[in-house]
Amino acid sequence: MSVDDERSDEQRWAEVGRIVSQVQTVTHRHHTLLERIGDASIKPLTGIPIAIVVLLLTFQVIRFIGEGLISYVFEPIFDIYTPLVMKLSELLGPGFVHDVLIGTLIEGKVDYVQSMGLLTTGLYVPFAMVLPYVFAFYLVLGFLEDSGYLPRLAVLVDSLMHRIGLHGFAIISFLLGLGCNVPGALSTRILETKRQVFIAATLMAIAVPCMAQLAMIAGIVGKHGAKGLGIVFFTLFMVWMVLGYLLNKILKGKSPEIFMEVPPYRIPYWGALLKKLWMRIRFFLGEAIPYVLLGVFIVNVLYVLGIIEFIGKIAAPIVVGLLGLPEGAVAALIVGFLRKDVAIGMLLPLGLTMSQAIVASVVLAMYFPCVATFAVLTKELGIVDMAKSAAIMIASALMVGGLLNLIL
Amino acid sequence: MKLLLMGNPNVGKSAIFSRLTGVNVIVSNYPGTTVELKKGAMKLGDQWAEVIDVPGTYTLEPISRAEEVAVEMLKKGDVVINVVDATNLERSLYLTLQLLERKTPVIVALNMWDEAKHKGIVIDVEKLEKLLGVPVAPTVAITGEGIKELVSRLPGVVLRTVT
Repeated sequence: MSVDDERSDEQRWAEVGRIVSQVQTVTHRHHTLLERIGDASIKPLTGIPIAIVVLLLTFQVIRFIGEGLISYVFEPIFDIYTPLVMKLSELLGPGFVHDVLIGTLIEGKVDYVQSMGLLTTGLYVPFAMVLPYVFAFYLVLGFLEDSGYLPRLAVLVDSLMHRIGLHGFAIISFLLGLGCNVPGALSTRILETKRQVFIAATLMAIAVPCMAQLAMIAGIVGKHGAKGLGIVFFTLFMVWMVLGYLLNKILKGKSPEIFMEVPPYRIPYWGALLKKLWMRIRFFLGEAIPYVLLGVFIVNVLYVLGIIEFIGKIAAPIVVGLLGLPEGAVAALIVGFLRKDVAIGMLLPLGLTMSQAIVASVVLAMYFPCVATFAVLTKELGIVDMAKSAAIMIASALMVGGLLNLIL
Repeated sequence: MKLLLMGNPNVGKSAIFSRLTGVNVIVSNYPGTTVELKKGAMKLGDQWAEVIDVPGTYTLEPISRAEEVAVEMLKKGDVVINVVDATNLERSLYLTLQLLERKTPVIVALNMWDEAKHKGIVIDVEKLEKLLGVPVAPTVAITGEGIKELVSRLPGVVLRTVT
């Protein structure tokens, strides 16, 4: 075979055909069970019910594993840890160091969610509140990924996604974003045009809360009952649809069709599955712990210096007037730039009503990405597009927050 | 020396990369999992070689940014390990032919060899080697089968054996 000269498309395909006919033989066999499931999960008639069952099951499994880990593993660990912290608290005595490390004692005791010390809230939030759900989410996601279900879900939602200027495959980016927006934002690269990347990245930053945030939202809104959570998710979903629709109408350019390869169903190989889970947990810990601790530290410094009170006064018309939140919520909005889970945790001591908790959760999810996501988005979109995207985020967060405040 | 792992999306390049370098990368069963170049190193005889996991591409005429990255990389590689899906030979060979038209030496890893067998697909490896004019090694990246043979047949690499 000559390998020097460039050939045309047809010549290459003809050559491929010649080679394959000489080296490959395919023996007859019947459809396997996996192939039958494969066909059933793409046809709308059977595919949509299958998708609904898969998604419901996914939520249930994540809740079951997450809650189980919290009550049977992490809370007992922190119960053992509490006497140590109390000892340290006595040793330190009141003062700045105590406030930073242990935080405020509530009724003479450590309250892991409200105390806001590096060794209390700074460890409790990432390990006992967020990590269990992150673990559960990535376990289920890994299974969905390796089995080959996700591309089939992509085919199923393709026509819906076209309404928002994307195609079905972008659903995988959004699902990854539910775990953490950083890998989600990176995965938008598989989309063809800058326009599609812009729409997908902006929608993700605004309407797709990461698992760390979701776990905390479940904590603060969920304690008022499932209805509140439902409102938060429904609102974010509507924002995703409406904003996507508008962006698709307003932005110039086209969203081209793609041809997507749908791989066969495979039975996940548990070794690879666990390795992937471990890598993602490590990534989460490396990303979350430093920022959570930094966030908690900054909160303390800002309070001591009186800066939060100062900004609170300035921002009062928006936070109190427009959003109907107490002035103290400003501190959460500031920390939200760094780390959303800590920010939502800061809302707890404020004693919010259910509607205030809903408004605060939605606004915190929408108004700006956390610093890690912001850095990745700036790299992917460029500074100009990032500025446009940020403007959309802030404007839509205020609009939706204000609207919710009026309705609820 | 730079080894490039190239092939269609979702043929197991990242799984082979993990096998060769011991570097953990995310592997999934859908196209487009790898969007950035991932680099690792492996010991070849007494020298170290850089192994690069290149995002998947169907042709050398790129459409998406991930594919652009792939084509850009080709200029810098010393050897291309063209990962081919044995269950999808016909689709995969187009890129193989395009790669063979370039100057960089190529070795073909016929991956998912186990799945091809299950599907009743039989491929005459020796004949394929003869027709393509480059080494072809059947592999099962997820379990590590065939990876040793692949490495020992890398073009331009002389593995010194102790005599």
